[in-house]
Amino acid sequence: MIAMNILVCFKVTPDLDQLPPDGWEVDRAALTVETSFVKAMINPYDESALELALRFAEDAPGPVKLTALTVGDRSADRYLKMLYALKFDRAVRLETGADLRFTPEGIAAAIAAFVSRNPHQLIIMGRQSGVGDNAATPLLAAEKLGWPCIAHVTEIRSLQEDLLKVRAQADDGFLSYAARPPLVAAVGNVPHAYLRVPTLKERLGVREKKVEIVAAALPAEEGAGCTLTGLDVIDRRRAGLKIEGATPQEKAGALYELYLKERLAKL
Amino acid sequence: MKYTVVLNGCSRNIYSQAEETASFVAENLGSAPPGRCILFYSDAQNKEELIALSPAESLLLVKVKQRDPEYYLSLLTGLLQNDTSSLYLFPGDLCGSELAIRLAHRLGGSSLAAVEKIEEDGEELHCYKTVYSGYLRAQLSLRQKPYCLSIARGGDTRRCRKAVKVLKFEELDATGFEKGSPLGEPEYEEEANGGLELEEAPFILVAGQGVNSREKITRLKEIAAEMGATFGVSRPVAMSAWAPLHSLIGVSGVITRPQLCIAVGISGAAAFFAGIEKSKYIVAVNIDELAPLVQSADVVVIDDYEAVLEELCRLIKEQPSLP
Amino acid sequence: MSLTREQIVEQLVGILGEDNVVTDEAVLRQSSVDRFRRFEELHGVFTQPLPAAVVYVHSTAEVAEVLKFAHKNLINVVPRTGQTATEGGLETAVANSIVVDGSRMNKIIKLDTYNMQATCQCGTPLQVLEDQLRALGYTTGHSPQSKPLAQLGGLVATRSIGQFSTLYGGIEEMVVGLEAVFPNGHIARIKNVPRRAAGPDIRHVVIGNEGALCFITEVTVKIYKFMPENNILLGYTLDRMKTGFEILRQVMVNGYRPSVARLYDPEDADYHFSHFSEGRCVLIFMAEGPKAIAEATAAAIKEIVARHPECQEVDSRYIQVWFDNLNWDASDVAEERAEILETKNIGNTTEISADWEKINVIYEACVERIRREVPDMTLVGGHSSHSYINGTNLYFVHYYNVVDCKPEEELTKYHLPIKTIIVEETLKAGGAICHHHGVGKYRTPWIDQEHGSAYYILETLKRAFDPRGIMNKGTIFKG
Repeated sequence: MIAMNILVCFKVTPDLDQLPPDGWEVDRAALTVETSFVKAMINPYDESALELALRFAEDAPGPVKLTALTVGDRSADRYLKMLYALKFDRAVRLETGADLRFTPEGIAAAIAAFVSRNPHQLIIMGRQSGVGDNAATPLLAAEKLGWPCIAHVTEIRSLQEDLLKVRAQADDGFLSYAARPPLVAAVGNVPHAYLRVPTLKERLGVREKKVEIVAAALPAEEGAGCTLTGLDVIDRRRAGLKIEGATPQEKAGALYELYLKERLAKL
Repeated sequence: MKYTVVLNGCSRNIYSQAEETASFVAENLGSAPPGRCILFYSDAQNKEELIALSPAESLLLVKVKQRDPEYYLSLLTGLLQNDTSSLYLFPGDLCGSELAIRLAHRLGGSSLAAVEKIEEDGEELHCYKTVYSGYLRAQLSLRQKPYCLSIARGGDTRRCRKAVKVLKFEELDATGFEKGSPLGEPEYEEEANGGLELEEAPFILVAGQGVNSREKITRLKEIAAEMGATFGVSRPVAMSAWAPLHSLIGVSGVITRPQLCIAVGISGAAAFFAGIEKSKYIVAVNIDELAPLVQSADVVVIDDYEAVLEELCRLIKEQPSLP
Repeated sequence: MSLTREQIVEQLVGILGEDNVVTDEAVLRQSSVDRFRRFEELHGVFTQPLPAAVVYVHSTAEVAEVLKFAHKNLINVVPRTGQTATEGGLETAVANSIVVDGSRMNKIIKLDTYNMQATCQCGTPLQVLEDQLRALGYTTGHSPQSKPLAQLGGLVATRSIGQFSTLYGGIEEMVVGLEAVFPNGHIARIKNVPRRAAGPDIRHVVIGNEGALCFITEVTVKIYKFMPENNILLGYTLDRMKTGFEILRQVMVNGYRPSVARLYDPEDADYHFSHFSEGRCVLIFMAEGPKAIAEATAAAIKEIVARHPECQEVDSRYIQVWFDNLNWDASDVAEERAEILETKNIGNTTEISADWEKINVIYEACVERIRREVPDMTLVGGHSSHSYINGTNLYFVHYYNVVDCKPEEELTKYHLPIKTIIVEETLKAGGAICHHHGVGKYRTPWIDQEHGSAYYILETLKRAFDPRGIMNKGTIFKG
């Protein structure tokens, strides 16, 4: 039986919620914000994608080969090595020092180029990631490859060899597909999909494995794309009036009488 | 700028799609010549009602047999081959944001998701949208026409929009369209209420991870019902499957716009806050005075939320005139 | 004859009123454990005897009444406030115990900024006290990771320590006076004075008693001027723990008192600082206090570090962001719960201390043995976070995947073997087996070895103050 090759794309992002409110300072010339001091993480949607792929591989009736792919600098290598320990067969980084924030076209092109050189039948990746919030890369990758795409995926299972069951969130319910590869699955909100943790032994077992690093030329203006021309901090402050009171009950009473009663009556 | 709005009439959220796009058109394209709307619908629907929703004077009603994005995309690609619009507008929901990006690629244009505002500037279109997980607003400039944009959800639709009278009306029966989706027809599974109720609700109660167990979430949901509020949760709560996915509020879920929002045990990451920031009035109940939400709420109770909410619920229930 | 569960409840209702006696089964189950058994708890498995009731007390007099009742009828009492215990101290080892919850005694009685002391009831959350003080320009100087949740009574009862302890000391150096109720109902008030030589320091009978001798109802702590504008943060990466310990030692021995002095081994550093640690150890300092002192302290630390060429300075903004996100609140706890259930990966910690000579020996021996002897480990590492002139602590961090075992077997398969290794190696080298989480119920088996011939003193306290053995059975004291 021929193995099914699955490519899982992920991105390492700063955990922006850790940045203190006064840490949001925009460099007016470069249109950047310093986020490198913040702890890094795998983009949560991509984390779900990686876990869904591992579960898929465990339950699939036939052999599955998993490739993890990221685009970026060497800060991602630690995560790629971890994915080796979690039984990914290949861990690849398309090396670039380019500003990747608003270049979904370029990243999608790099993914498509990788797939054309390294055949895969299924691409799984998160639908969107912080910083750029473009929500476009998986969709554009599918377009560039001429593959169908299912977005907002919450579940991927193997029904039989070459037939997948894919469940996706729609605006007023769910859509369930019985789909044949090739396919791009853009992973959305998946409950219960934290990425598993490798043991020390598993990590030790892959210590000698090297991350595949491939130079990637990201076309700067692929498809005319879009150009960042401004960046501003959003001020979300409101009055933040504090309700005083000796007990929670007293505070609830004050809140109700002074601020809610009238508003509720008007609803 | 010649524009076309594309709506998914098969989805039960068609009303908010229509309102959202209409208000975007009114605010951003007021001086443009009247636009066109393409609206997909299925056999089962009331055509008159759908016509009344059109945000543009010219309307093309397309009857479809499938309601998935891949199918719509094939249809649109064919329909728009010789179209001369420079701007295609999609609602900011899941379907719309997917179509905008993919259609742009097929038409050789450029795209952007979740756009709040646009300004035409010579050969460029400046678009404004939130980035950095909701902490920053970016201006991004597009050059390649046609522009395919999805609108940021939760735009201010309360502002009274001008009633649009449909002057030009066409119909197309695409149910025989065979090239359709390469994926085949998906099975549709309706979720009771879905996120629609939350999106429209005038009064919501939202629980975050400060509410730290399934039982407590369940209790708050009861309290919400007793108070007459619609219940929603933050992403971590939904990811723990303590509440259904469609009750998820924030950039990855529903964008609400209630008159009154009570947020309980929510720390207030920007990605969450985007989901309630259109609220007219925000009450935060939190034990942690330093939580970012405390700064972004109108009024704040720093205390144990369980006691506060139980008491508040009792007070609201005692008030006979309330819903 | 001992009272039945119903009789106990009935009498408690008589003392405290119905509203303050909780017998809801879900509450009782949840009150039979603390974070030590959270893997079981998360899976809905409860193996400990259920208490008869959780009771909320509102005054010292009520505490005295409840304790007298328990004393008379030989009912086990487990005192608690913020419920952040990690070592089993809140487990109800005896069926039909009374869990006495002081969290509703939460009044701040006096903030005395002239005499620089703050008095509050046992249920005052440290965060609330600290926030009020900071608004006035003062601080307790106490900042354990549990600050958003923990309350004063529990903090004193467990001999808590905070992240700034290298300057301010542990809670034992902050408490100036207190009030505690003993099993026979006796209320003892220790007055607030700067120091005295009127016999042994009786505060230390109460501080760290873990509810096994008395119930703490009121606490007075020292306060300090809060001058965060003077804080200077320093961070370094380095190759070896041994070098790090030596730097810490030199800083302390030469008379400097940074508030934060922390040394992470590569594994623990990777967990917290993977964005800059690059597989190395991480060393962090914060100098605080009056400007001139903070600056002099920082300058001296820089000079000491400079003598060790393997240290590489990192941008202090890395440290600032870490510092701003340090504490655990309810949502962190919730997220952790979801992750544990999902991944079956759970982490615990064990903290010990030893003098400069022994600390690295213990560190190396423990890490080596845990890696070798315990299966399915995903992280074995640790850090030193509290230094003294004669030594430092080690906070071991151990994570593992729970594989092929029932929730109730997790302790015996993983957690207890790990604890045993750490305790054995610490005792062998001559360190202390508990640095700041308390003894709880799982280090009690070694308590006599820990104290050796001095155990006589400790044991005598139990016999003297709790002769009928009703206070938190199994905690600190055997039997």
